[in-house]
Amino acid sequence: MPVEERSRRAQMVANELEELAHRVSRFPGGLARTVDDVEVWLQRSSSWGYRFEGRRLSPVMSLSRDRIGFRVLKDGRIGHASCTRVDETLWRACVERALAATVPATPPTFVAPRTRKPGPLTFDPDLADALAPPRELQRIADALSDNLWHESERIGQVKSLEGEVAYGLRRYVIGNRGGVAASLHGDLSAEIRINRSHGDAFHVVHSPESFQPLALLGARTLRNMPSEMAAPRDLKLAGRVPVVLHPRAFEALLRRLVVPLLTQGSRRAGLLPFKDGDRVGHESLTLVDDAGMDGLASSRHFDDEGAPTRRNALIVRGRLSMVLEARSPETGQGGSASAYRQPTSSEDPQDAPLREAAASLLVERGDLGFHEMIAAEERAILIHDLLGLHGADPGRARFACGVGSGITLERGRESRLLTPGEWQVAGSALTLPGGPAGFLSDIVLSRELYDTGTAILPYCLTHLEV
Amino acid sequence: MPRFDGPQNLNHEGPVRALLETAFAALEGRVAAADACFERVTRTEASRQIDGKRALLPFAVKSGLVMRLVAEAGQRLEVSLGDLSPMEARMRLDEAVAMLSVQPAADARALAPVPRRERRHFGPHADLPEATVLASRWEKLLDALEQAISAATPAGVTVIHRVRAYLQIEDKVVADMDGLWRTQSLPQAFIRIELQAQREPARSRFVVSHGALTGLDALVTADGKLSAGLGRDLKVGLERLFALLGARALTPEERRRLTHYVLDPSAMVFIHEACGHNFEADLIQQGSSGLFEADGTPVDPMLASPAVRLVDGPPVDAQGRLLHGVGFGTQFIDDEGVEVEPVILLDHGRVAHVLHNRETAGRFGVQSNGRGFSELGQPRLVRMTNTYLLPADPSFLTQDRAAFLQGIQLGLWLEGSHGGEVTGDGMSTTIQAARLIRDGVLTDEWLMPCTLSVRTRGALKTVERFHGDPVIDRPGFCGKGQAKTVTVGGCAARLSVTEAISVAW
Repeated sequence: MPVEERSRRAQMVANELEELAHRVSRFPGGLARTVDDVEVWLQRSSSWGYRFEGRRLSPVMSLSRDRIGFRVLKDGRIGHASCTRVDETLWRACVERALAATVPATPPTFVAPRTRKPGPLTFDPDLADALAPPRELQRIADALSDNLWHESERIGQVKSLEGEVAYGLRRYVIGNRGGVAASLHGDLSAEIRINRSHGDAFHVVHSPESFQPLALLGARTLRNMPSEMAAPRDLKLAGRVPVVLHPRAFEALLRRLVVPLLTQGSRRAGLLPFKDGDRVGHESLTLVDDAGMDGLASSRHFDDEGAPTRRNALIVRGRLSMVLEARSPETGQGGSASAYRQPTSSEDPQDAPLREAAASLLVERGDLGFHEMIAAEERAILIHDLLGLHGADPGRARFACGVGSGITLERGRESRLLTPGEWQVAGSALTLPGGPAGFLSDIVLSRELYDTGTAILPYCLTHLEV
Repeated sequence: MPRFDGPQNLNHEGPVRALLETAFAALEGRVAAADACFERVTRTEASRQIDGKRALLPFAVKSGLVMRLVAEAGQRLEVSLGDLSPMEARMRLDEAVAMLSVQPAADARALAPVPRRERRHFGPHADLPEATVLASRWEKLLDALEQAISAATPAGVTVIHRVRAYLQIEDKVVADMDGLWRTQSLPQAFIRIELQAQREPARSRFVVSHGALTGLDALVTADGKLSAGLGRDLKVGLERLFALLGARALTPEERRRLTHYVLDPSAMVFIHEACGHNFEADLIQQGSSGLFEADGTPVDPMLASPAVRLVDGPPVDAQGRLLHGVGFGTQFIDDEGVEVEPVILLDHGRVAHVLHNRETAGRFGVQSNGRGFSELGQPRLVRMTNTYLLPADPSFLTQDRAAFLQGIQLGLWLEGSHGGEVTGDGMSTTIQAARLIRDGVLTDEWLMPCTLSVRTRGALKTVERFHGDPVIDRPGFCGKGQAKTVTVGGCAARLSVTEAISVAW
């Protein structure tokens, strides 16, 4: 492929970000007589790729979806508005409407936007360029699908295939009278699910030396997929049993039940009964919110107020070290630079209030290799993902979920698939006063670390109710 | 190329006509066919966080355009173009045509046609009130909620709550290169109140959701009182919240002795997840339905007991009569311009129909029943609207609760579900509260929130009978990669215990 064609996409994307940042930085100056300050938060996202629907590949393409949120300060009060178009006339109308319904501003100032230095690697021009020609992703998707179906002809088993391979781009810009900050994020991701019961995922921000591992994702997953299924009665498993949480399931539990409790808001509302220094988990547990980790889709150079992100060590060797904290309502100083427009339920990010949330998660590795870890258990289950975790109760750090997919571990080997719809697990993440013991107090962490795309985590062996 | 003339029924319809005329003109001679759905949502929101911090969003506007391009050789591409000007549309369509041109020739089964094209507009014309009026109403709503919660809270109990409420007008235009122009306008009001109570060491949680296809009066009156419907739902929610402070889990011994489950109409997320998704023809054709083979053959034609009728669409009552103004998931036309009709999925337990958009209807050689929906300019998928479980005929329905519960030795009356997830063969949903039924009597023994897991194929095989009038007013948001408003409900259903259903605490 000609070098000029390959290099065009990354340059275009960089130019586009510069233009967006320029427009955002100019906007507050034009309203100096109307408002004390205005903050523009802008997210532009686009993606293209292919969906796997059995043997069919369907192209998917989303071009430049803009989300713009405004916060307007005037006379110690704050107003909000949002839109989805980069158009200064519409932006001014948004500011006027925001002023019609203001509430007291706490804190009364905005952050002067800055980026973390050095920032995380969230965009690789080589990857953007390599995937720019429309044929490239099709070639990769075709290879992934062909390899899987070829493998299926050899060893059988595949009844259905679902999933997607796509390259996504996001641009964040935040600006007010104090300045402007902008960042670029691009990642190639793939997810496949075979027979509605077993799957795998792939994620990369850096341009890989070869796309072959991605092209073999389906075939490899199929080769490693057990052919038999097992229900709890087949294994005579019931009550409190050893469970290995795949890092994806572990991350889901941490994000749903642990991180929301470790915030100043929860502490103020009386939901978090622990002081800094209290034991909250096993001494091997160190949990860090680090937006600065390279190569993760969730890493950020600045939070959604424009504060440069930092490393927040929430739990260190099992003890609560700090909580995620907003800026001081009075002075606007301090805070953990972790205010994000994190939507809940059907909210859109541009309309979501700023919430204390984690960006990229890191749990420090343990001492044992995965196979050493499971060798000690005669029978256990490995859970890949949980169903219905969004219904869990963060106030009690308690969950009871169906198992979406998983594998039995029998005599130290991955043996049978967990029969869909037959497995349920329950437990508490933390030990709250008067409540049952939290599973984080009873864990063995693997030496292997796994990149989920938004966290770097080990496998976690614990005990849950089955 | 089409010119879209005639009366305008939506706010800002003129600029949308200009945008779509430009877009279709840009595609002339480059594609064999194209159609489009443009949506514009104007919204105002109010929220209260658990620490009492309030936020008002007096104005939010969002738009999105999705276009489907069909090449001469049958290749198709559905592209999300965002919120854009006619000039930007031309540029982005160039990228889309380039993507379309590299697709291999497809099996060229045509899209199913839009069955009726004449009627142009659906739904009431609606506007948001002035921002200052809205701000005052939102403040009154949040004040009224705080007062109601405070007044109901017993001594020694602490309650915290989180609120999110919105009022929006959703305008939609569906058009194609052959001159189709259909519009729909739909107001929508919604509130979600998450309640958490503490009486150390006990904690409880209950979520109240209330929604309607009307204005702000559905939530709060002009003089600042909670609407009758919301007031009733909040009262029930608070009663459940306080009752759950003394709740327990079912013991393993009781679990072994269980004979029945009763699903309250508020706990019907179960049928949306376990059954509804598996009737979506896009999932069927890709082999992802747990109830159908990829060619559309049911894995078991008798999927439920003979007592069951399962319906999706505009709500009807137990006698099949249309209920007007009910159903948060109601739409008059889908995002492909097809009118949305009630579809009977199961009748007397037997598979009757499945849900189609134009794409899947073309593939299966049937007519679309109007289930092609997208979230603001995203690709159109097959989606549910209002899904509800009814008795197949009046002989399975009783209005007498004692008769309904008669013969149940040990049962659970399951209430309120929020959220669920499905993987084809299995699903899981959170039940907010449960009560024990002992020897045919509904007791006041409350059980903590639990998870209901179901093996899809056996989900409705043991339905024995139904009770009460259908209630189809639980608003929800279905996520299938995109959010869509839906409702679940029906009549209370009694199921005997089966291995296909389990509960866990």
